[in-house]
Amino acid sequence: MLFQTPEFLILFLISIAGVALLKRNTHQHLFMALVSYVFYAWLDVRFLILLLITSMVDYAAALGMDGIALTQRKRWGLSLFTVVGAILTLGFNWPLIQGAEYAHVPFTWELAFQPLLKGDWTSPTAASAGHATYAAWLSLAAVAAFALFWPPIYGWLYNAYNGEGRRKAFLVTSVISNLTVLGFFKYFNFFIDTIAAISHKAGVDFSRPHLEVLLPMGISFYTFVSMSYTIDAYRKQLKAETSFLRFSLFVCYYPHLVAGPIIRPENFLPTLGTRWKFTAQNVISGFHLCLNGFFKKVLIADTIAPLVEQMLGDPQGNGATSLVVMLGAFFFAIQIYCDFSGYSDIARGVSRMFGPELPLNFDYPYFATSIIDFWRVWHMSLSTWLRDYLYIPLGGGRGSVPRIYFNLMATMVLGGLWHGASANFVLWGFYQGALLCLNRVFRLVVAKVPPLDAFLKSKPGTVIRWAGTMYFVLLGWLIFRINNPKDPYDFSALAYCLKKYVMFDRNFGLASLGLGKKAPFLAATWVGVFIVFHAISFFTGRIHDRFDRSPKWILPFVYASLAAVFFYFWPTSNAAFIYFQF
Amino acid sequence: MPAISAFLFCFIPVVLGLGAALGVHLKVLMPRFGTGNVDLNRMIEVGHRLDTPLSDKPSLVFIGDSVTVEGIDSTIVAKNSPAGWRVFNFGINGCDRAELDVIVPKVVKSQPKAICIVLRPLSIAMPPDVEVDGAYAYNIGGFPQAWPSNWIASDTPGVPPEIVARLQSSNLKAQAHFRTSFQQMINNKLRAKFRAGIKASRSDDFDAPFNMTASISGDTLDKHINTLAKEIREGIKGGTELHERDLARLIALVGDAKITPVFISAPIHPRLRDEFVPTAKRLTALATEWAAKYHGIYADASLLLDDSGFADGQHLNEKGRAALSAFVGSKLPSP
Repeated sequence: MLFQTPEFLILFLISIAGVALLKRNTHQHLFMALVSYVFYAWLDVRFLILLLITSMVDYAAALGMDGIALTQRKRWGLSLFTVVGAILTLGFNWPLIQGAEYAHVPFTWELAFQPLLKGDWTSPTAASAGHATYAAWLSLAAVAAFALFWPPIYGWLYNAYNGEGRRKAFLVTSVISNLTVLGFFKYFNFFIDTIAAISHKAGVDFSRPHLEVLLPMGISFYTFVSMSYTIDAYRKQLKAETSFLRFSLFVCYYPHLVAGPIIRPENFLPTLGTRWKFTAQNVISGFHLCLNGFFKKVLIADTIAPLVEQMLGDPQGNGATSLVVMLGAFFFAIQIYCDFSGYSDIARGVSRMFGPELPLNFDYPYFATSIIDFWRVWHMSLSTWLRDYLYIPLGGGRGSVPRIYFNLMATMVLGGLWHGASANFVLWGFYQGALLCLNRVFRLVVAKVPPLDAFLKSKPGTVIRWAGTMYFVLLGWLIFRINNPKDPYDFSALAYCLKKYVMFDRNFGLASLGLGKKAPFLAATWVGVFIVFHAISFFTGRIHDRFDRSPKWILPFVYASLAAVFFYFWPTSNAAFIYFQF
Repeated sequence: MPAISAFLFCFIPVVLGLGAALGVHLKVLMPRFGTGNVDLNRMIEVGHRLDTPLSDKPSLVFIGDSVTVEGIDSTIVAKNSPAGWRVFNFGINGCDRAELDVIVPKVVKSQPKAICIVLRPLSIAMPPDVEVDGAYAYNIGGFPQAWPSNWIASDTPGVPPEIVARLQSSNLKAQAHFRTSFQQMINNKLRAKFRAGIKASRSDDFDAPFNMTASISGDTLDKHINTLAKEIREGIKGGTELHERDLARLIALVGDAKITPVFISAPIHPRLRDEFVPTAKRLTALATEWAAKYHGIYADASLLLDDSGFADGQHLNEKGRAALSAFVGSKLPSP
């Protein structure tokens, strides 16, 4: 379910009514957990079972670490919960409920359980039993096996170890289960293909399996959310949550579920101790944040997306000039920022209306004056997660100089890989890691040359640092954006673009933009509007915060006018958020 | 302020703003600019023109895609044909076989004397799906109302169920879909201003609605030729039987209504002839068969032009247009 669809509006109105009307916090949280599961199920119900299993394993693991044994009844209760969840998610034909094209089809149990009976998820008339039937049964059998074996394994782990050994055992269980699910669903084919590509180079070819594994929406986000909880529990930074309801809501809470911000247990779990307060101030302020998010996502990112595709979709085939490649990198930089920060703003705004405050994810990254600064303010919830759970455990900024640089590189490469199972993301991670290392070296060198240091801190020097930073950031976005989905190791288009970006060809032709078809004039206008507002916001304070302080009488006119602008400029097709794929 | 009041304070102005914008769109912008896009407006205009029956005078209507739009000048066709024909060019850019499925029933219902389809190898290749914008524009043009029952089945190529739902949605929904008409109009105006080699034509021009005013050459032409060759290879990869059946169904609708079908094999660019030969031969056989079955006419113009008659790899320039239009006119019988 995308934030910009009518289905989401209905779900949101139901959620806000629930939060406002339910008087007890337990009821409120149960209601919100159910709504969140529906939200996720709408995206792809089949993967809801993974979310349930992740929640169950990590909930139990943290309790085990804290020396709280789950009773047999509770263990089997949770097992039953996953089995029922699996039947609902893997065996039920949800498209029958979701798809308007099936509205005329009368409901029958045979159709409802068609995924299991005939392996067909979409067409109510299809009759052929295909391998999807076996996949559905296999998945159900896997969940049933898990549900059957998990309680005794848990009991064995709990009793076989004690003290620190038990804590480690449960941490390892949690980390392995999370990384196994993530690794299989996100990286299986990538790793197999990588091994095959390396073997091929070495002259050894082998037949390899290529599974049609679908990527569960938002898996990287909720896995990191859940892992941060068990790691914090292991580090004794928090007490294990005894309520499964509260813990599962922490993982599945829909504003953050599929594209972050990656929330931390210490920030979110305490908000579940009491009833969420539905206040006028939160509603209005959250609404302003949502407006800001929709402005960025719908009017900027979605409007310029077709043009970016035109410029960077097939740069070689279109014979893109240096100017087109640079413009492509620039427009993509705006697109990805508006898309992702727009999502974060909507998520934060929606959550603020319910009560909990989600963390800020972007803090004017395109005003950064160094790569180190850029990573402090770009996708902050991920960069702080990587810092706290990867970089610092590796040793962080302590130790020998090579070790520090290794830590930086390893963190950024894994951060790149987190974005997707593709070689260009790994390359992007390498690139960012190398830039961070060079930035550190540069700072050390500059510190030893006081006149240069003073100049770079002056206004002209700051402008130069900003321009240099942006040059490298844009180059990075080319690495991020340009890949060949059919062959992850085909870098020819990327090499072409990098050459065009670095060595200007003095060709000012814009023919490959396909003037007109992709609305370049409109896209350029919206980019201009965005730059002006963004700059005003940076230098004088966030616009949505200024809305919060505006006289109340003026706001209805602003809302109505903005609604009209959205009506006229909202693109006629809804584009998914870029970060959904991660 | 209580929270519920705050909620209403935010959402009521939004609803009012959306309502006002919708009103302005329906009452001011749509009547003035239509969809804002000439091609989409043309779908609507053709539909509206067909609301008036064509049976008052012997009419010949051309239907088809950009090859028809660029390649047929109705006045030249009329001038070169036996006296008495009234000729309309109802070609629509992008109107391949899937879109013909959408429009032909309404064309038939308006009772012209003859319907001319400019065939090309892609006519029996897999067509792309009708686009969402196109589906809504055809909806406003009133095409689906003329469909015989069960006309579009769930396996009709290029018209999947979600597109059928849009074709048959309410008129209000279809009009609201084009809420970006004003920005589209600006974009298209600017495009026409900045891009050389095209002219802004009127969407209700049924004589000579062509857009291209210059021919391409060199690398650009090479690239276009390669794209077309690839397109045909991809299009016929899965076989042509299903598409032949679909086209035959269209022709039967025309023939059964006692309307004379006229088939013209479109001129093929000399550099694409080898690539297109097998499919073009099959098309010739089919068109000959259909012409015999429904007392129609088939004329082969595939070799009519050398490359000086083409604006690019498939569309005709002024010279080609004049030659093809005169050729078609000369093949028409007396009305």
